[in-house]
Amino acid sequence: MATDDIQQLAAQLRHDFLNRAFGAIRFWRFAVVRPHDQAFELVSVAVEGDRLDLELRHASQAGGTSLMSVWSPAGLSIGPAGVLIGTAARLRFDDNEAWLDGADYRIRTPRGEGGFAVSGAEALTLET
Amino acid sequence: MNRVFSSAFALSSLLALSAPVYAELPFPAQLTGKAVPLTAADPDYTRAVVTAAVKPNGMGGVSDALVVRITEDIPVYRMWNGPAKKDARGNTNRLGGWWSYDAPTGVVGGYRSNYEICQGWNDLTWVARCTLKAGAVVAIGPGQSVAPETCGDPTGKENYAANTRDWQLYVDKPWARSAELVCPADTADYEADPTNIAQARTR
Repeated sequence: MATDDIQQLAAQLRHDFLNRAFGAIRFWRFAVVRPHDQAFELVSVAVEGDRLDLELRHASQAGGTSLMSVWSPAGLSIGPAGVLIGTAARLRFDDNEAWLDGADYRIRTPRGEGGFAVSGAEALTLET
Repeated sequence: MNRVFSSAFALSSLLALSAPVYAELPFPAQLTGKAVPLTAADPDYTRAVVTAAVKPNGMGGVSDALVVRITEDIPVYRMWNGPAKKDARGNTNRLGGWWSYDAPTGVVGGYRSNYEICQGWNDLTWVARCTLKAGAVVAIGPGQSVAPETCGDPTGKENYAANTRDWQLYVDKPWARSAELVCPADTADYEADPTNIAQARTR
């Protein structure tokens, strides 16, 4: 069942997904990293207003942590294949950002800014 | 249909139903005598984590996979961003899931296309040569296509076709498999000449 309330959503992530490794990160259809080249783990979850902050580290435990932020997340599903968040206003991780713009989503990366159709894609996928 | 043909048909159908996943992929000549295919029934099969390697059209990875056990140490290759480029967590991408058993050759753009690697994912500036040890269990297969949406190229143009010629080798979470994948210090790597990635760049 999808969870919409942001505090409930954070609590569910802490309960069911903390320290689980995942290898693919997608903002809608955009693969933020090469799928299953690296792997990450969720270290902590915080809520700040309408923003969900996911603290991630590399699954090897090497290096430090960094934040993935999701604004106005709704529709959380957690299963064996990972995490899905159905809708969000905006997402950010490292140098990559994506946001909803009508029926499209736009992305900004170090290479520039562009847009693609949502076409039913989930706003965030963390695939194990 | 005569009885003999009918029986043969029934037997072949039964065999097809019980055949392992890799049945439709040919075993690559490069690994003949150096690896053996595993069936899904082999207890080591799951170590390859085929579910992470095989992806749908447009999403990278491989389109189908053979799971193999390496029987003789082999060199494997990976292009990466070099020691100076670290991500927000302070890590390089020297180790990662995707490798090749064919040594990198040609121009870097050709390598990028052949192995379906989006520009945002990897700079492909350095080459690491490691050893996949006998006993390692990995997935290999032909590269899957990558769609413009997956690459996230702002112009919407960057995409890669599937490639049945240059197979990829997937080592799941290689940083946790130091007995199976052995790499020298990164000082043994070389910065590739982009016009011929088989050789080091000259300054």
